[in-house]
Amino acid sequence: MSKINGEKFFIICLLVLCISYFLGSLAFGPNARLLPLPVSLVSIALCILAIASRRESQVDKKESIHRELKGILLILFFVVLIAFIGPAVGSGVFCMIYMLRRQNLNIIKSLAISICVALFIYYIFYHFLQLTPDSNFQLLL
Amino acid sequence: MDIIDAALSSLNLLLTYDVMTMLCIGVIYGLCVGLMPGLGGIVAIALLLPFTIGFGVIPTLGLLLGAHIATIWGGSVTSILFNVPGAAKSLALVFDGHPMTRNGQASRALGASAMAALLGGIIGAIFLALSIPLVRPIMLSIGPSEYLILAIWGLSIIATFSDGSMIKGGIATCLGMMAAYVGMDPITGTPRFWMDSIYLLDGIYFPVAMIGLFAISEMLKLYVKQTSFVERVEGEETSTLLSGCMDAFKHWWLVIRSSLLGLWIGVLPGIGASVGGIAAYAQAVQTSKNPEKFGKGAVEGVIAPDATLGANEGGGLLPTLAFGIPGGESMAILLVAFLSMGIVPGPQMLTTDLDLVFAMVWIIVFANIFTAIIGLAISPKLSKLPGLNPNIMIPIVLSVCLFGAYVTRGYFADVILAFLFGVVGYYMDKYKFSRANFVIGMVLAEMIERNLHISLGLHGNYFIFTQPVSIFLLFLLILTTGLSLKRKNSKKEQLSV
Repeated sequence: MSKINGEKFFIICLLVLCISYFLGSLAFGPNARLLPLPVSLVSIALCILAIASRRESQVDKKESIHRELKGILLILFFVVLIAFIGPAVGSGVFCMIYMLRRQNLNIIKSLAISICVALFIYYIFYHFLQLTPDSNFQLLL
Repeated sequence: MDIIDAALSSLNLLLTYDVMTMLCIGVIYGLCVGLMPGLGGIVAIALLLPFTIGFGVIPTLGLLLGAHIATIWGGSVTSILFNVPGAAKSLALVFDGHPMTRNGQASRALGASAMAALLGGIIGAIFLALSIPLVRPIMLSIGPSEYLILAIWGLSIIATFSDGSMIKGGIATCLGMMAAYVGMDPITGTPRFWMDSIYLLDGIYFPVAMIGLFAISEMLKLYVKQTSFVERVEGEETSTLLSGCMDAFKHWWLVIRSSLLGLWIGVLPGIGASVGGIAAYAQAVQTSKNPEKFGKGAVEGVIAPDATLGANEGGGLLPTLAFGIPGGESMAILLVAFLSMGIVPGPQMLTTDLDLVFAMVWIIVFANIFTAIIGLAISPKLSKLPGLNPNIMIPIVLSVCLFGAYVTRGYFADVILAFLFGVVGYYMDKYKFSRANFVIGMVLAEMIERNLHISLGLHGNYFIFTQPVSIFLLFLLILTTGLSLKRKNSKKEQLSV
């Protein structure tokens, strides 16, 4: 996808979001929508202006979105790891897999670094700062 | 004469082994917490609350205030080096601090930041001591309509960050405001855009959004580009800490102005240092002879917010102690600690208990000195961090960010939110939608809404024109914004010529 088309697509996504927000805020009472309504209207107008003001003469360049998608999927994979095996172990496993694949370190070195990272983070957050997470999926549902 | 006696006797109380040790422990602890993205002064103070029992009042105040002051500078360090504001109040440091790191001037930025915070803290403390008898009537004359105009003034600086396109800058600000309106309406209690999720009823948690918007998106960018952690534009590190420290002295007038602004914003309850940092940055841009330098690594863009943050804490103590009205979120937590120590806020704090107030002022001065000394000592090591191999830094920084997002409140949904904000932040950065504008909109939206509701309820639809202070502030707002836009346009014309 070219950069200009990518940008257009991004602005259209924002426009859809703003329109949904505007329609959503219509359902509220006059006090609750006092600011969300005008703010969403302004953003819709600005999105339309942004699409209209795209200059076709701008130098465009083709870009591969493969790497971006890979990066997004990588972080998503980490999120899934945290969901299933917890944040401390998840961090360790993620670091190890990442270093094995990208840094080409041998398995012992990767394992040592990732265990150190996981232990360090675990110690800082759980023991030093005494923060204890509560895996509460229901809040999202 | 009473004031001088109180100042001297409180200094005498402070210069003891116990107090200085506790102050040092607090500063080191605060620096450690401040360097963790997303964990700001509120978390640092909240975690120290159990330790306030069993020690004397002054050593405990040393521990708490020392940690609080050091956390703020720790947040500035992460903003400068990693483009990740450690807390909302350090946001303004991202705008020029990180570009300085990219330009190979990390040491200079850290030196300027530490020195500006130190000078700001000392100037703020001195002016606080001098202004105690004068401040009370001013504090009582500021109402919701004035707060509203101050918040709108904060929004006016989006013009500065809209690099190239004002439209994109406007969209980013509106998106930030829209994000802030998710959750319960603060006035009517109406749930808004909550999609039947209890999690969203609380609104979008600001630190988690910032972790995503700045830290995770930066990691994604780094992964895509495969360059070093900070892509240096002008070669390797060329600056020194000393040059940064000297910069703070060279811009002495900016330091004084920003410190006074920070003190004033700290005194006004409810505004918070996050607005202070942004307002300081705005005044630095608006009064600069070369505003086009800002956003590209201008040292003034580091000095102004840091001096404001340094001075802000002294100012925040005044309404907290005199009226029991916290000057910001951190002051609210400190207020709880004060109550647990038997310090009851009230007008007596400015009369019979004045020595206690001065002890806190002195503690802030010493905490700023200790933070600057320790900070400058570790800065040479810190400034090398951004040049590390990305393949080592990406998994470690991602781990700290997502782990931090998870454990701060203990909601797994915060991890998902950080991820989503990370993706949005990446594309915003790619297509030049200012992330700073997004955060400014998010920070100020709640303040604008609350004060608009209260002003309308108190003074009717034409509330701005019924209050003389509001009219004066509105005039200032129009003047400064108009001048800023005019200057920007004339610079553009000059460049095109």
